[in-house]
Amino acid sequence: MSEDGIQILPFYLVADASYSMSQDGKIDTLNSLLPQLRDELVRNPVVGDMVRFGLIDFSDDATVVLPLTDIRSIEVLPLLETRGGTSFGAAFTMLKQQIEADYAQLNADGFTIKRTTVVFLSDGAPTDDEAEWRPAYEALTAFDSDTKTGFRLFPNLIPIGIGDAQRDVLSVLRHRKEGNAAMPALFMQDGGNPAKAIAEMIPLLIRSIVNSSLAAADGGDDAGAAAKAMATTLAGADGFDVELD
Amino acid sequence: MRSTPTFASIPTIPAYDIGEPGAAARLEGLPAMLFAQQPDTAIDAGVVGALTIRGASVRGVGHRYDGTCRQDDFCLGTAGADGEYLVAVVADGVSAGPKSHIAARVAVRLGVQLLTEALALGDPDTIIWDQLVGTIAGHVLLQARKESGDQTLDAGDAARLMATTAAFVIVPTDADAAGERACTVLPIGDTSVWILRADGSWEPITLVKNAGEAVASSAVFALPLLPADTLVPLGATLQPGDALFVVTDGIGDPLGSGDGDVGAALSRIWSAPPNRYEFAAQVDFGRRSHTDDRTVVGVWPDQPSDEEPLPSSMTSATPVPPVVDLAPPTAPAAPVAPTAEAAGAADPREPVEVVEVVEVEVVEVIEAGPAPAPPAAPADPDLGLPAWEPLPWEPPSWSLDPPPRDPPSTP
Repeated sequence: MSEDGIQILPFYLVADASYSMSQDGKIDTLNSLLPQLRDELVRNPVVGDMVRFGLIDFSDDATVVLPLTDIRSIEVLPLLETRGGTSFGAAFTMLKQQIEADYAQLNADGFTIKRTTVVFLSDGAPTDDEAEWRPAYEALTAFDSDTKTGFRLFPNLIPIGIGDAQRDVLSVLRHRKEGNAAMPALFMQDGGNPAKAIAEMIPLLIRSIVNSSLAAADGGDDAGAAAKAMATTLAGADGFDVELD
Repeated sequence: MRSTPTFASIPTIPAYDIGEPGAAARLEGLPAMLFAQQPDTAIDAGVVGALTIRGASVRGVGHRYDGTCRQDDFCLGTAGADGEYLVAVVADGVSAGPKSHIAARVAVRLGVQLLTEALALGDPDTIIWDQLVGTIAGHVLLQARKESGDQTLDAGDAARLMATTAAFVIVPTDADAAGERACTVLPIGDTSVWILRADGSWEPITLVKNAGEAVASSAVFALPLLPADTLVPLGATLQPGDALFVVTDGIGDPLGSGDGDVGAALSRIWSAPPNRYEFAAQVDFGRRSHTDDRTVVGVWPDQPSDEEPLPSSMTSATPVPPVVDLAPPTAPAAPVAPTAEAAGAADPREPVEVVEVVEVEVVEVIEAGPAPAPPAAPADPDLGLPAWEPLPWEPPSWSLDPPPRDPPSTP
């Protein structure tokens, strides 16, 4: 089919909504992301015309809090609410389902869809076994470009760890790790205040979405420009250790 | 007694959209010339022999909004012993390089000059493209060294400061005995060349970006980096009734394969050369999320009239609205009265819901190409071609983007 459609740059925030996120105002701070992002997209129509944003939270299960949408058109933005455990597997499975569904819908509507970027934010270790979340992660991210096997809509995934997040686990989730489109992982520095770290991370996240979209808006005439703009913007995070190589 | 003017007597250049324009379409930012001495829009138009030309280069709304200059450029010339060729060069400065508009300027102006010199000596098939393109790459490198003040820059370093795609096109001004024109096309990067056939269909002469790829690689060659392989030009034959278009990816990307709404709209409005101002407004069409700089050089052979058409608002039988949506193509008037069934048909403007499984394709601009252009050794600027005289606009070393020099006064 022709690829002359309106271009969509999809972003998802996949947020930990386990009980621990309710402590120290973490979830309340995170809930200020959507209104701030909406204001920025209204202010910056070049970016606002391209960006679609979605929000998935996960605990023992995962729910789509906000399906992929042009959030400029939403008056009352949803809020995250905390509940029980921290199932990474549920999050990955829901995310994959959602990316497939978004794609089918947008493609049918004649849009041209760029690769999804996912920010995966957690403040703790997974409560499901690695034997459960690992296959779900592989199903979400594995793709062999030579044989065209795996999930070809795989997202670029940026893990952000705050509070008691396990660096070694989150570090594994970073995707992709190599090449022009390499994504960073961000970890709150030891001794930081988690709510403050989230508050500082939000404007940076918004700026990275803007910069990435502006790079894509220029016609993608530089390989990896959008991904690189995202990664380099996030790499400037104060109060975070950045993993990007 | 003066009569009240009617709509038909008031020339209007409307704004054009193709489908949903998005919130950004009519944004007004700072003037382009505050950032570089390169205006927001450049227009050229006229007739060369039997060819009618329209050229327009417009700043994308992305650059209008974020306050950067237009990085596209184009240049035209005539060449050959008897001026029997039109040469056109279109370039798209790579946005990652802050001075790429200068690289694009070097490519189009030096490109036309070198093509003119080469065609004074022989036919298009005698052109040594590696030498010609290498010379341009060398001058882009020199320009980058001058801009940075660092004489040790290699082509890879220079490309981070300025880099440009380019498409070179040679069109015979007169048709051969069969009424055809054998054109020569050389693309570097994703600046593309199309023929609009007499039947209204778009035929790409250069490769269509991302076509047939599940995940597109966009390893775009951009001078001063040079492709590893020997450059081989493409041939294209203009039949009677065809027109040729050289476009940057600001047009090429929304045009896609040429068979969508954008292709249909442009095919309709460019079936004949428009008024020059209307042409520029059309190149600047609003379409949500398509915000890149756009340049189009259109060449229409053997037009019946060599008088420029008036804006269509002055010749149209109906008033032209301030904003014209060119999509979808207007259906031909129904020969019979609409039936109840037709009246209930879906509005063609609504996205048609596709029920069957659609072949999944993800277009990706963020994927590194499998084989990025090796940072080729900078071409030796002196390759036996006549030395290139510095162009009048060439900046002195102290300035990033100075005013053009005054023409030398004649004593």
